[in-house]
Amino acid sequence: MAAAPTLAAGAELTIVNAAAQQADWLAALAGLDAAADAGPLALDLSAVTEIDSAGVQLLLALRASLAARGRALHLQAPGGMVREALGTLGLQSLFVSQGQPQAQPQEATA
Amino acid sequence: MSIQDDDAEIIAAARAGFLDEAADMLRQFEQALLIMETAPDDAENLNAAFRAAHTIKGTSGLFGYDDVVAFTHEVETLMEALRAGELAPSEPICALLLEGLDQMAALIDEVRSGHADPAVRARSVALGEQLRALREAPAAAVPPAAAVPPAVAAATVPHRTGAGGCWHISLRFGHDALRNGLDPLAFFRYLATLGPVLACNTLVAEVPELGALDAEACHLGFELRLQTDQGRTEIERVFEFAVDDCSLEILAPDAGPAQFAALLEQRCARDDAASARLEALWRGQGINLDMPAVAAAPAPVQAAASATPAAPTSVPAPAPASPQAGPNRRGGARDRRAGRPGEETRFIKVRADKLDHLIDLIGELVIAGSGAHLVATQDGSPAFLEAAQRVGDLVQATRDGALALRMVPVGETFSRFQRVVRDVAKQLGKDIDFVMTGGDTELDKAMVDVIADPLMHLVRNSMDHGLETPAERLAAGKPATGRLGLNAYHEGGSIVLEVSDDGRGLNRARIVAKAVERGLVAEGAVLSDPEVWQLIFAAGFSTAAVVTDLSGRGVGMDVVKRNIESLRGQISLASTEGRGTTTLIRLPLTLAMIDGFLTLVGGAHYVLPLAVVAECIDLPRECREHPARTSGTFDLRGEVLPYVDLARFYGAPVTQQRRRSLVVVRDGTARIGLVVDRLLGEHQTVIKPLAGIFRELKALAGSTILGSGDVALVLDIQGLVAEATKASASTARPHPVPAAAHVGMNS
Repeated sequence: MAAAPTLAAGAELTIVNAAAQQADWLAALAGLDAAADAGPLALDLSAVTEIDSAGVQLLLALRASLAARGRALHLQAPGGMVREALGTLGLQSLFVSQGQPQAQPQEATA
Repeated sequence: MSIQDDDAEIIAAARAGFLDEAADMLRQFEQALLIMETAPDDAENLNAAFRAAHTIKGTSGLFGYDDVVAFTHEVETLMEALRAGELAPSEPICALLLEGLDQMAALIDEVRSGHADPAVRARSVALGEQLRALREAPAAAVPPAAAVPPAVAAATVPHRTGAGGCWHISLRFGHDALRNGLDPLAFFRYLATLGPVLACNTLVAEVPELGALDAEACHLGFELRLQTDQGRTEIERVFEFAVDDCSLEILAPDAGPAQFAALLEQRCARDDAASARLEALWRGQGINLDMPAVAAAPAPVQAAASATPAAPTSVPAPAPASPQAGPNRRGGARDRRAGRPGEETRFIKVRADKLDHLIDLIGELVIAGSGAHLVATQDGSPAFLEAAQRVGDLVQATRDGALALRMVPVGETFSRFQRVVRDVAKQLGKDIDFVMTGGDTELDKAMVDVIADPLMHLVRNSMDHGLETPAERLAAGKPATGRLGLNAYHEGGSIVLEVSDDGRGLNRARIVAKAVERGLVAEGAVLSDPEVWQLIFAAGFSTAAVVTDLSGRGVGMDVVKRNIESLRGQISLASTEGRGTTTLIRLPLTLAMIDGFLTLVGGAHYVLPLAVVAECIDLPRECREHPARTSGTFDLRGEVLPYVDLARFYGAPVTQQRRRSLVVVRDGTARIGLVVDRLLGEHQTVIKPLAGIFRELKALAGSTILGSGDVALVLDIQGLVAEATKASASTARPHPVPAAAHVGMNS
């Protein structure tokens, strides 16, 4: 895949930082809109060491925002914690991970 | 202080709370079990019993008290079977559960003491096996399915299938769930310990876009499929801590399209788009949502449904609701269930020392208030007087309110007796109907513990000596079932406790004979019935021909009397031979404050409890004729009563007042007169304990401070009488004291 524009997530993708992370991403999105790119957006998760449901919710919201703009969200370099969290909530097939093997799906009969 | 010390402190405090709650739950469990024996179909009661056991298991688990958890699990599982209607509460089951309860209490006691007794552990194993055996034996009669709420049965039958069924869990977390510290991820990880989560679908579409999102609010909902052989309760328990912040719906493995339709309505009412999405999600999970042609609308209760796993038509529509179909057989005016959960009584837990401190302050307020009133009276200003009066009224109301805080319903103490009566009745082979009334009557907390032992002794006496065996009763023309009554009510300024039975009553002749034998009474003395009954309270007195395990050794009644008197109470008996006995205990409402009667004796103030004052008269002729005597007798309207000259008794200078008075006070059934210098009227007093050096004085109950700042001594009438009779016995008396009065005073 061609190098997609990237957003990054901070170390703690949890309720503690949720509001701040949201603000960051909104600002970045505004900048990206100006670029009028139609390709998928990659979210760099390599720095994430902690994630909770609030963090997952943020990912879902980001994905929804991008979908509204007709773009896809790719998760880049998700660590074990992120994959486990997504798996537990049945979201592993929702997000196509870039650069990492697919996590074992926990069985969503989608 | 190190972190370990902090932790240890926190754990110790939490442990105290655990023991408190466990004791409470054990009491509730016991009561429910006792009710279950007489009303086995009471579904609400079975639920209550289950809940109590379940709570004990749960909180023990939190603290890691594995022994308690393991054993309680056996009890709880048997309770679950009873609750689901798979077993009927037969006699052997009830008896075994009560034994199980005792074992749970023993295990919790080990937690409290920190000692582990191998014998206790062995018993856990043995009892556990018996409990399991009862569960597996379907020989116990299963009640007709119609008596069992079908929804409950339908939910628990799959619990028995081997590999376990596939449960559907629908969760909607509340807006503040994340803010309140909940993390759905954590719950789902825990849920997976019950069995494989076949599917988990997050309601992605319900999460707003990033711009519209409140990042700290929770917009998450989930639909899960869980395969487990655990029951509904276990699944609910996983989400126990989230219960306030989420909506949880669980559908059993045999739930049919009708139930999903109901759930769909509940989740997405009026939102067609959401409805469609949810339906699609469910179909994706492999759920069959196709309703059969014949709709199940308001489905009549089908007995067959409880046995077969769902053929869709036979499952009643509103699955999550569980109607209380159990017939309630509880009739009658007995108040066994007063105060059970279900009645919305709210309580706040208050530390006892804080309450005591408040009462102390109120006491000071009472004193200060009367001081202010005194100044107002002396001052003479009507405005000041009125203001002082208003303050006084409010202080009075506050006093009453604060004292009421210390009052607990005596029914709590009464209900502890149910178990004892049941066990002893079985042991003695007697059929006893235990009736408790007046449980709402309130009593000062400080007294409740002291009164329990004397009451227990009286109850055992009734059961052991009073009530006859069924054979004896029938021979005497009485119903085979004996009646043991425990009653409480307020009367005047006291609380009265009654223990009554319709047994054989007291044998007057035998008591008198025994008293003569012991030299308590002169041969041939004329005694009234009450005087005869009072003889029983003498130390070592017993007419029981046979000393049993329970009573008859003659060490009981005098101790009972002493306990009652230490609470400034009185005890009396009434009996009719062949018909029964009633014991009456009269106690003051509170020990902290009394309504008193103030007197002046030899320049010092003395307060008598108003409750014991019968009347006040001018100094009788006999007293005037013998001014040098400390005690003697006088004539009161034809009755001869003894008197004590308080001034002489306390060695105070005898004032040469022209008009001294005599106050007639009650001591149990007897009356005596107290000669005082002046009567100063009613006075509300806060009793303060006497300092150690005064404790030897038997006749004083305490001290108090008057509004003027003077100290007054509070008299203890029983002690006074005892002292006075000792004093008069040691001095030669020119006039013989009549036997009747003498015996009265000796009791």
